[in-house]
Amino acid sequence: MAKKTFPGNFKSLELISKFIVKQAQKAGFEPNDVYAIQTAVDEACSNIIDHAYGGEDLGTIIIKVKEKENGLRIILRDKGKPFEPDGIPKPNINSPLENRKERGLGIFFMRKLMDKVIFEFSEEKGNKLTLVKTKGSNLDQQSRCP
Amino acid sequence: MEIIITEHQNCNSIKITGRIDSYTTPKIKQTLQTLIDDGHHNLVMDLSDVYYLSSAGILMFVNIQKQFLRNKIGKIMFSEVPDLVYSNIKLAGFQQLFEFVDDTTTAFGRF
Repeated sequence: MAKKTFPGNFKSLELISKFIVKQAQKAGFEPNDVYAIQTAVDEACSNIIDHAYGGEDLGTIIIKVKEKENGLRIILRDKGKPFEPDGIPKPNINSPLENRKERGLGIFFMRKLMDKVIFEFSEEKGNKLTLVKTKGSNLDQQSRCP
Repeated sequence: MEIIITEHQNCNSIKITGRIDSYTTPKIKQTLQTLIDDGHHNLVMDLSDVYYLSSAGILMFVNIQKQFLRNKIGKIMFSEVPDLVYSNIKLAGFQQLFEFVDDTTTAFGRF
């Protein structure tokens, strides 16, 4: 298991991505899956800074990466406000572009790119987000490239 | 992240190197808005050396393109977009809002 703590600011995003890409490559994921995992974690961390903390440098993001059978389990923790994903409408990617409401694209990416996305909150420990990716699980995503 | 702007006869090419995420997007947005405010409305985004594009970056390009469409002047075109970067634009469903070309010089003839 690998564990790192990052300051909750946007400058951390590049370091977080480097950490996650290294772990995903070590676990043997294909490049498109490595990119998918990188995207999901980057979007999750941006949401933590923007919505859970409501700004930069107001707390930390703890990331644990565990290798599981044929994949990775990534756990992100923060001590910000409880995050309520159900309150964020899903973007309708088929609606006319002029009318599209763009909020929720980050969560949409996480759900599309990962096999499991679980949000939990406890008063004592704060927000816990679990992201699970299994190798070769997302055929839809493998055909995403032009 | 680096931005290099080159002025051409009928457009500007903007080559971005590095990541486009929540940290770098505000700087890119500011650069593009300055260009637009100076009267440059035809923008070719060369993404050949971009290795990550987040939803924040995608929405910045989308909002500028919508602004061009509303004002009926100018457009953003993308050139040399790496497959994985394109995959996130497609996943968000915005690929039909933009024209994509394989090399930047091809874009010059499309304005």
